[in-house]
Parts: sequence; structure tokens; C-alpha cells
Amino acid sequence: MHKTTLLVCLALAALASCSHDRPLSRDELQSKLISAESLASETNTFLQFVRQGRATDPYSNGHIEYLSLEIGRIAKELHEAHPPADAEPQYRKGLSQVDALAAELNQLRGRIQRRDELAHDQEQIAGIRDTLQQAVSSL
Amino acid sequence: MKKILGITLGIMTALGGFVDLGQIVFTTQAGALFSYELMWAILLGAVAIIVYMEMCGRVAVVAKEPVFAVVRTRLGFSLGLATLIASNLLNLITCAAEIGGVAIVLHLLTGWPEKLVLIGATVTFSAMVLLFRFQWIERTLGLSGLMMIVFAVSAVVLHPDWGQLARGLLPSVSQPDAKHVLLYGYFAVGIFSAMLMEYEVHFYSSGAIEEDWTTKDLGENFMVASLGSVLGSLLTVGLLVLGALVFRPRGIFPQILSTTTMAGAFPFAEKALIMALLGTLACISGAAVETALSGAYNVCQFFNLKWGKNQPIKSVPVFTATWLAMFLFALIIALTGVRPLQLVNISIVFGMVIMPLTYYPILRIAADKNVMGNHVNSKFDTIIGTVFLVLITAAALAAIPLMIVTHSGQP
Repeated sequence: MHKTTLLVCLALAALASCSHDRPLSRDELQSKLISAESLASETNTFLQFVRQGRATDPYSNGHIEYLSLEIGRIAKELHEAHPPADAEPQYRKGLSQVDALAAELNQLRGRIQRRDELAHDQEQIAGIRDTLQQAVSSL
Repeated sequence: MKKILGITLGIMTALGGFVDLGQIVFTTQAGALFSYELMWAILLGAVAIIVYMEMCGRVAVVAKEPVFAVVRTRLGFSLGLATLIASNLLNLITCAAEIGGVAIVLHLLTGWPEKLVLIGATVTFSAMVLLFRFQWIERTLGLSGLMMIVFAVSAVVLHPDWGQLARGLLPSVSQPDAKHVLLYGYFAVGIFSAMLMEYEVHFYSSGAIEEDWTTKDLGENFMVASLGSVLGSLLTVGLLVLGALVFRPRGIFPQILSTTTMAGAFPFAEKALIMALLGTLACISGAAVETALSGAYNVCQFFNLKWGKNQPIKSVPVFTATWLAMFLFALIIALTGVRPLQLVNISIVFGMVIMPLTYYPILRIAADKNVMGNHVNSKFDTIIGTVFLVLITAAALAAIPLMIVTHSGQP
């Protein structure tokens, strides 16, 4: 009986530690923003690859879809978490850029084949990346 | 001449089958974070896998005992059973990760829906294992994996700094802060573990028995284990170089498989991209089949049941049912939508934790004169095997704490 109670308590504690209400630590926020910054850079490198005509169509469509899903996952995690008490401005700034990147990638999913228009997207994403970099540096 | 051809084919097959999803991901990420600083972990992993793969092959040939029969006799039933359960859970997770990876690559190659290709690939693998003889499965997937050479060619074309690469053979940390050092430790353990994944030796030793190797084939065993692993390790070095040259300068920490495959074709055009995708597909397909079969080998060898891919299906019912179940459960896990790279992280870390329980019994039996006779370990073999066992155990103890403090290697 004791063992069962202990196991249930441990399971509940584990669940509680995974709960979305848990405030994000400064380190966790930094780690998520670094991931987002990396995804922005990945997207720009990929767009350059596509503009040079070096990617196949299924690859282009598939890769932009995966990039979009990944940034969507980070955005969701950030939205569901409580901001760290000592880094709320950085959290807000970072979150707005993650949302902007997610929106940009979502749009790109429909028009990755239009190579001529991608230069503008690259500029936009480079701007998002710079702002994310600032948010990371300020943490 | 026929013998030389056989050995060459064996080496090429070992080379093509050397790399799997875990190695592709961990090594490129390590290159992106630490440039060439973890070259030593690849070297260490390469020597360790050569030592233990050769030992497993020799034990299988001389004692006619594959890995899990050795585990049962040397660890005893209870600890052996715990090792079997842990190993097969690990095989299942790895198989699910590899199948998930296969679906991603097929989606990138064809544009077909991922869930559909996931199911299609699993059915194809099952049919392949059901219909083909062991040698055909091994060679088809192993030789197709040679297309991964495009990654090594890309790495060379991008002009790595060879001096810096050589300096990476000595452990050093460029930034002394705690977070950096812990991440460095996590990736060192990850690379070491990915190169020593247990299913590789389970599959190799069972394969030696499937292919009816005798003591006359021990030379071939040594050549295949050593040269195949050396060449496979060079491919792994190529992945590290690509991480350092393609991702690191751009501040990219590759977290999705499609980004990693792009690195393989980075200096080239469409055809190289297709080749990189096909090479990746072959390697991770090979790993998916090996992990499923490994699960079946382990169960049958532990319980002393009849096994063998080349046996008629009706005469090996448990063996057949087990590998089929491995594919089925791996498919179910992959269909839940869990990300393959997340599964790979788990499999590599937990693989490291249980690794000593597989390698220790192998070392014991290979050094046992009563069982091995003239083919017993030399003193050198036993010393080097013991040194690596100590390293494996140290890495096993460090793996979970490092995973927790680094949030599974997040920079």
C-alpha cells in the first residue's frame, strides 16, 4: 500500500513538474530563443539554397514544412509557459519575434517555389534573427 | 580472388551500415557547437567498436555463442533478463526513431504524405525481411548506404582546416564556463554511445552465425570489423566537419533531419541533394531493420529458442513473431507523432546506460581460455577491452545526469 502511494505521489510530482503553469527559468528561455534564432538562420540558409536552384521541389516543400512545425512548437511552448519573473521584457520581445518567424514560415509554405520573391523573405527573417540575437544577449 | 571480393564486399557493407540516425544527428550537432573539438570522441568510439565487434564475431564463431546467450550465461538469469528487457526496449525506441526518420526522408524525396510513407516503409521492411535471405538484406542496405559518401566529399570540398582537425584528437574545451563544459561532456558521451550502439554488435555476432562463419573466417572477421569501422568513422568525421563548416559559422544548431541532409549537398546542386537523401534513407533503413531483427535475435538467444533469418519461417515462430512485433510497435510509436530526433536522444542516452551489461560478458568470455581455446584474447586484447569497459562504464554513469542538466543537449 505504502509503495503504491509512493509511486502515485512520484508520478504526480513528475506530472506537476511537466505542467505548463511552471514558470520558465532564465536558462530555459535563453535556450528556446537560441533554438528560434538557429531556426531563423536555418531558414535563411535554406532560402539561399532554393534561390540558387539547388533544391528539388519535394525537398523545398517538405523542409519548409518541418521548419514551420519546429518554430510552431517553440512558439506554443513559450505561449504556454509563465515568463521568468526576472526576464519578462526579454520574454515578451523574444516571443513576438518567434511569432513573427512562425507567421513568416507559415506564409512561405505556400510559395516556396516562387524563387524571385524569396529575397524579400530573407531580409525579413534576417531582421527577426537580429532581434532574437539581441534578446538572447540581454539574458 | 573470390575471398578478396568477399572481404571487400563485407567491408563496404560494414561501411554503408555504420552510420545511423543517432550518429547523423549527434555528430553534426557536435560539429555545429564545438567545431572539431570532439574529434577525439569519434576516434575513441572507432577503436572501441573495432575491439568489441571483432571480439563478438570471434566469440560467435569459436564458442558458437551469440551476444545474448553470453549475457545469460555470464550475468545469470535475473540480471540477464533485466538486460534483455532494457536492450529490447532500446531497440524498439531506436527502431521507431529510424522508421520515423525514413518517413521524413521519403517525404522529402517524393512529397508523399508522411504518415502514408511511414506505413508503406514499415510494410516494405517487413516484406523484405520476410522474403530475402540475410545476406541480401545486409548487402542491399549496406551497399546502398555507400551513397552517404557524398557527405564526406562535401566535407572535403569545403576545405576543412586539417591542422585544427588533427588538434581535435586531443580533448580540449575552448570555453571554461560550466554550461559549455557540461554540453561538451553530453556530446562526447553521445558520440561515443552512438558509435557503440549495442544493436550493431548483436546484429554483427548473429550475422556471423547466420552466415556460417568458421574459424577460417576469423581473418575476414578482423578485416571487416576494423576496416569497415575505420571507413565508417571517416564518414562520421565528415559529418562533424560539415557541422563545423556549414552550421557553426551561421549560428545554426541543426534540430531537424532535413537541415542535416542539406549539409551533405551544400557545395553541390540537386543531384547531390538527392544522393544525400538516398544515402541517409539507406543508412537509417538499415538501422531500422537491424534493430527489429536484433530484438528477435536477443529474445531467442536468451531463451535458447531456435532462431535465424535463413531458417524457414515455420521452424522459427518466436523469432519471426518478435521481429514482426518490433516493427509493429515501432510503427505505432512513430504514428503517435513523437519526433524521431527526440527518440534518438533517449535511445542514445539510455543505450549508454545499459552498455556495460552487454560489453562486460563479451569481454569475460573472449578472455576465457576454456571456452575460446587457441582463439582466446591476447593480453593486449584484454587490457584494451578492459580500458574501454572502464570508459564505457564512466560514460554510462555520466549519461543521465548530463542529459538532465543540459536539457538533452540544448545549447
